[in-house]
Amino acid sequence: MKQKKENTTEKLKIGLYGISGCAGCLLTVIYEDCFTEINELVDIKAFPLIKEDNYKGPLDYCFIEGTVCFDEDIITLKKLRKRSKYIVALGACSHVGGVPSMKNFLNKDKVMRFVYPKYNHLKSTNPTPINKHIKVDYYLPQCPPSKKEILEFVQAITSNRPFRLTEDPVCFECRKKGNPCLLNQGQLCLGPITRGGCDALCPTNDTICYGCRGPCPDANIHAFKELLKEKGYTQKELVAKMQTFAGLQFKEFEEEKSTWLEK
Amino acid sequence: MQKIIKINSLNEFLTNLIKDYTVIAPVKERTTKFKAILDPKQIYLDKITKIPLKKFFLPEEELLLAFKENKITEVRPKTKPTIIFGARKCDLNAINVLDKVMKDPNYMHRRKNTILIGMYCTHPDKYCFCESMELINFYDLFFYPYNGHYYISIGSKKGEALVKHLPSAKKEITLKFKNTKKIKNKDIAADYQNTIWETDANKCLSCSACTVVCPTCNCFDIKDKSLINKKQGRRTRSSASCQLKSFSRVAGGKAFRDSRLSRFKHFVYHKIVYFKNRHKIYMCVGCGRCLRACPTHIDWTKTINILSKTKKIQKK
Ligand code: SF4
Ligand code: SF4
Ligand code: SF4
Repeated sequence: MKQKKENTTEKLKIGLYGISGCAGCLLTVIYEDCFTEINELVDIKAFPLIKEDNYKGPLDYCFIEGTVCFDEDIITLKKLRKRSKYIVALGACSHVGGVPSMKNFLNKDKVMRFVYPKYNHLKSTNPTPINKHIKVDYYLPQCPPSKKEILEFVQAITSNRPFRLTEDPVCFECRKKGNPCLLNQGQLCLGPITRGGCDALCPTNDTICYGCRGPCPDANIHAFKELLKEKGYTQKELVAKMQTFAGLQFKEFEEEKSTWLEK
Repeated sequence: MQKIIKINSLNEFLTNLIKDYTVIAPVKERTTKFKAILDPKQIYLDKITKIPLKKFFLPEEELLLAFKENKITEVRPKTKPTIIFGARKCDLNAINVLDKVMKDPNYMHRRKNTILIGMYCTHPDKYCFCESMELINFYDLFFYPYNGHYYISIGSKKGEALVKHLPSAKKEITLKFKNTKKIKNKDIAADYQNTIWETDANKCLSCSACTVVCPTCNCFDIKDKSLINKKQGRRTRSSASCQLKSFSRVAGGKAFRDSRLSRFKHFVYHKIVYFKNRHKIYMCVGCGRCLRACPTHIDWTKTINILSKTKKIQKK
């Protein structure tokens, strides 16, 4: 009994928080496949989604889900940053802006009216990923993030192994699986310009890749755009597709302003 | 001396083989590939398979060894004697290429356990250029369809044993291959610095499709994974691709083949120059899979032909 207690004190202190988001990423963590092992490896000190009593002290790793959509989100982020040694962006919203970030490319007020026709007191802002406001140490991409990758991350931090995202595009995993290529069939699949690591989940299920893991560090977006033009797609169609999840990052990537990619 | 069998007796011949062997043949499912069949009716010979035959000899995520506590077990494949039926001349020559470089026990086990039966292809498509690649006869048996019969060439004792009950053919029938596509001059060693390659490389998405579908690309990555308690773990092998930056990434983070251009040229030069210098045969067997799969329709064989054209003009 005594021994057990000593072990617990050595475990890394983890917090799992969400800002504006759908809670889907946090929910992914508590799936049976990975939660049992995560719970054994680390000490989950704070997890407001599933815990009533939450520790308020310093954390080793703090996982954050969601996009920055309100000023309150920034306040929450800054507080979490101060409390934590490492910040982990959990899921596409936190990593690249996710679906809400689409609004950056649309008429803000129109979008707000469309979603909330009645509420006049709301202030519509430009949703941004968390690294626009605080320093982020690790990213766990995808919408929702992959259980396998979350577990691998926790295994890595608890055994002092480095954690790296793959730098290969989705196509590599997709081709290795022997999937018929959707792009070659004329569909607008973003696989060649998107970072892999998802086991080509969408194309394997006959759905195009929407780029939810953000740009692949080696993406040849210029050639990709030329190709789709040849295939008869308009610039607007292509850009709209790229803006589904990671429009901001694709844009920065093309303007070569992106600093977060080599992480 | 060739053996002969009626075309409509082929299914019976194969059904008998299926009783004693695992028979792998081209099939059409979500995609076209080689797969173990239970009924000869599954066989699909109309078009070249999208997925190459190498997947049978070099499976993805192949388990090589596993350890538990202090005990290490090397994992060896357990394959029943296998017959590959319906491989094309290019598919068979690709195995010849793999034989030159793959020497590990798992590969050797599968190779030794396998009988290769080839089939003449009546429908080469506009991407096929096998005739340009100096292919050899590499098979245990090879079938030529002619006048309602298959004329079967015998390439080995193993093959002979399978057809000894069949009658001998009165005349020898071998058919020519009918490619429309050709590589004219494969002597490109001096053109490495030619800027012509940039046009192709600028179009390249570095998607890896060409290397994954190529029947002779054999580079692999070995991954060790241990459970968190470090008491159990496994080592697997899966394919790698020279078109990806990660391929040449070393400790410390440097990638030696950083530019898309150098990666693209490496593919072409390995297939046409480097391998030939070392092993006396081309690494490319002219199956055209890389050209069919490339999403941006890069055709490096055309580029080579442009090179030889410009050279001729220079000579004049
Ligand atoms: S389906 Fe999409 S991800 Fe798969 S190979 Fe084609 S372009 Fe790449
Ligand atoms: S390089 Fe292309 S044509 Fe040559 S063997 Fe490979 S896939 Fe076939
Ligand atoms: S298939 Fe085409 S685009 Fe993809 S890596 Fe090969 S040459 Fe480049």
